[in-house]
Amino acid sequence: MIEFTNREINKTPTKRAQILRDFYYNAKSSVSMEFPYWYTRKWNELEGEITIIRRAEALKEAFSHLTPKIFPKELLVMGKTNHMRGSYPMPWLSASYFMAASDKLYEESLNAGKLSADKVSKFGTGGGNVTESAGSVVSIAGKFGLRKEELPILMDLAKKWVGKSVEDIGCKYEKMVPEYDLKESIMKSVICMFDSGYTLPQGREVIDYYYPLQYGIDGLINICKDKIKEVAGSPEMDRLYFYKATQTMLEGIQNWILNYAKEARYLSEIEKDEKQKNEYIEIAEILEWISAKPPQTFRQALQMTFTFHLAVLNEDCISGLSPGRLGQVLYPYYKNDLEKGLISKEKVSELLECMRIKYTELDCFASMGVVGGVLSGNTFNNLSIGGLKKNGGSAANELELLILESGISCATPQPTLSLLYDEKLPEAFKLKAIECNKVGTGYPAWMNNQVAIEFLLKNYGHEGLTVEEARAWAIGGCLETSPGTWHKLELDGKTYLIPGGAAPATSVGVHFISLPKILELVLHNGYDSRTDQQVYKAHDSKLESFDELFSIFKKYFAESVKVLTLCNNIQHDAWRKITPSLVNSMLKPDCLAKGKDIGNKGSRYNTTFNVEICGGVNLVNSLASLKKNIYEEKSFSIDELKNAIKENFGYKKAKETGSFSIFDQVPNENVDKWVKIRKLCLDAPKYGNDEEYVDSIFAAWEEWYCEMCHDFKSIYDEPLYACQISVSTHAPMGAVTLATPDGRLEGTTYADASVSAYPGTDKNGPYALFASACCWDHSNSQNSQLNMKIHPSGVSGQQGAKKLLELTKGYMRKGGFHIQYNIVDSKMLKDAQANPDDYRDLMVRVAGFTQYWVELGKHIQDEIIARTEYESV
Amino acid sequence: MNTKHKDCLNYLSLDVFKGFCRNNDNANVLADEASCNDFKKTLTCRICAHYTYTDEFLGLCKDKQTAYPDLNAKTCEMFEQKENQ
Repeated sequence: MIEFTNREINKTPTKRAQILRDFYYNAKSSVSMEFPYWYTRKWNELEGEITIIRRAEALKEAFSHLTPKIFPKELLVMGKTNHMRGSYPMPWLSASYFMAASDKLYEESLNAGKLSADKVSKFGTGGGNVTESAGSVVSIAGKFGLRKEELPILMDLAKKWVGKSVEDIGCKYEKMVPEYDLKESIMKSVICMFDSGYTLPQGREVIDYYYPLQYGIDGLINICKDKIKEVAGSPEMDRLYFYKATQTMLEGIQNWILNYAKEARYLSEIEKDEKQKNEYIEIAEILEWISAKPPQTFRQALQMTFTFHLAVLNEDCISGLSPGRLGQVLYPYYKNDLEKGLISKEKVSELLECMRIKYTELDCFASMGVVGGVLSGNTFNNLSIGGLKKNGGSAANELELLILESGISCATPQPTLSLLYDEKLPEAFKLKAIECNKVGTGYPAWMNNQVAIEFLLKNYGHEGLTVEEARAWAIGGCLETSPGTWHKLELDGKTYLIPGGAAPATSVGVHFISLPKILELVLHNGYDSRTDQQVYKAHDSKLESFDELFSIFKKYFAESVKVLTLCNNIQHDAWRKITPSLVNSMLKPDCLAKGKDIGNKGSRYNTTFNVEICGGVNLVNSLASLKKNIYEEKSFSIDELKNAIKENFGYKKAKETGSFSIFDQVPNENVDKWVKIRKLCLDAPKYGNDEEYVDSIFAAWEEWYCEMCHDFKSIYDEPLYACQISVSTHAPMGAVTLATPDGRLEGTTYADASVSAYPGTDKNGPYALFASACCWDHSNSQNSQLNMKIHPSGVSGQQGAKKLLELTKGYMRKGGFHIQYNIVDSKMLKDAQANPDDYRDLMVRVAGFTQYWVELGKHIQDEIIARTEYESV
Repeated sequence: MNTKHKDCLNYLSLDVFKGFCRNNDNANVLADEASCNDFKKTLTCRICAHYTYTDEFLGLCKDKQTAYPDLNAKTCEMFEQKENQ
């Protein structure tokens, strides 16, 4: 039996939240076909109608027909579908997966019936994932369960969208990009992780709840009606259609809320338990109120914000829709209710725990490579706390302390928490956040408020962003610095300033370019051996100097960014023309005022497209190895290195061994032939040790990369910028990359995040790692990302907590943008890998998100186990 | 009577495999197991007068629109229960 140290902080939620969380643990990811059915049915009825109107009517039809479901004990209600962890495909975005997988899915449904119903409840590994078909349920891509009687309607709907989906239309036109063949090759070789426009066209942004809170739904409908009268017949006719479409969409949301209210009333009539009966009545009253009017109480406001969060998630395929600074948005209602004696802090805490479970239920049905390979099934609802007010004072408040406490007592992956670190925040607030870190869930992550403001001013200043406005920022998705704005909320005769998101989706544009893979192709004259493709035009250079090699690398990278930008712009254009955003557009300033949706630059700020990369540390370590071993000390030649890489340095491949961690690799009979070369590669200077040799290479790369992104333009005619987060891409991208010049072996994962050291190579302690990480200006990029794994004993007790806070401050003060912690004993993780049934509720921090251990793929599990574990700080 | 829990009005689905029974507070009811004597039919296209089958799991609504027998009709304004259903 393995002995390990458990995490120090371990609290239990309220009884109600415990019951609801247990429901969640027991629930599987489930597909419902209701929404896509009603959407497609209405869409097809309106052939010939103006697209945005057609879209609005289809959304209204779908919302109006969703079957309401309210679970016993819930206080916060509503969901994406009629299942707890429900989601649905959107064939209007992409139908190709289903068409291609049709035969396989039908075969699965036939075979599934042969397994007994008993097997249905025995999925130990995989958590809530439906990892295999069983009984009447077909597994889709090892994650989602679909009732087999709904498979024919799924295929019927998919067929109706063939040739008409955003994917199909986008694909048709992106082929007109002159370098399209290069793009295809880049995608096949997994130099780029996935397309942008039809996979996750929205998300990685901060929602804005202000308009429904301020005006209520009837008020918003009336605004639309007034605007229609104002603009009908005038030039800029698109505004008329936008307002009409928005009105229609809002009517659909109203119907949806009222259906839930009706359900709550029905349940109150059949309920025998008096307490539960009264709770259903209260739920009905709250829903009836918010279906029309602006909320007046904390509970109404919480329900309103959650309802609109769901509504946005239902209109598109979205991951990373962040609630933003929800604690600051809801604070006026909290304060008002407390003063009037309408609520207690205990009740608020219970509601916040319920809120955590509702956000955790959210699921996203995106294309398979996205859900598994990138997102690890996470939906990235990031709640930001702290930061500054408009006037520059600390924005931390008492409600945010309760949010932290609920994150401690009711630990769940969602919403993840981000603390916008500023020197002005109270010390007690920061220490509360450290207490939360010690639970081991990996939140809150810490983000540097001043670095973010600097980044925002550099990139949005030309759109009118000021310092005061920049202070309203929050984190979108896992780590996307996103601009916000301040709104004047009126409640009970008083006016409050609340923040809200003010820009559309980011992390759209170029999704994850694999840097080590491009380096591999530089070494092999543009050729990818795995797919047997000449991806880039052969450079035919002998690579006689480091500068020459690096120059070719940059050339290949720039060519990749260019063609991917152009192709993804076309996809996004198809998206905005075929499936314009309506719910999110209504919410985002200044779409309602302008009468333009997000796709037509209705938002206040629009410089949101970016260039994401992965594997930066492996690139830099490899460049350092090449420079030292080949060009300076001439220890071996390029050809000798290429042979060593071809032989995987004398080791079996990761896919043979089934382990993707660098530490578990198995030598083969040829290992002695390559041991010298590999040792030289491993001994070359490594990032993370405050060594000028390799850090100067890192700084040069960052300076070039951050600057060159601005040379490319989005569909909004705005420049792109750098974005450096790995999410989970370091696993699938590592899986298709040969061994690298830094000594990494074929198929193993890259270093996680963007400034985390490669496992085992950071040998000079955390402050040396910080010095390396901060060798470049983090405000030149939308983010940087640093994961640190610390043994629980290293931060135990009050002293340990203070040390961890000092460590965090140390990094922030050096200019680091982000740091997050896994407080965990690696031995526990190994035990969890061997005995997953005993660890259903274990959570870890991956890279910008927290996820249940049992729902992570083995690649990522291996990588987290392998990360350097600090025993003290 | 060949009815399942998933077809019962008292059944609240947790996921595609199982759910709750509101009638007896049972939190672990398998969707495909036979229903009990307190079975009450849930409203679906299957029992709607406007629904006709074209296949085992597909059909038409009002002879025009594709529909499917298990589509929940609780929120459908066009629903009319078939006689003898």
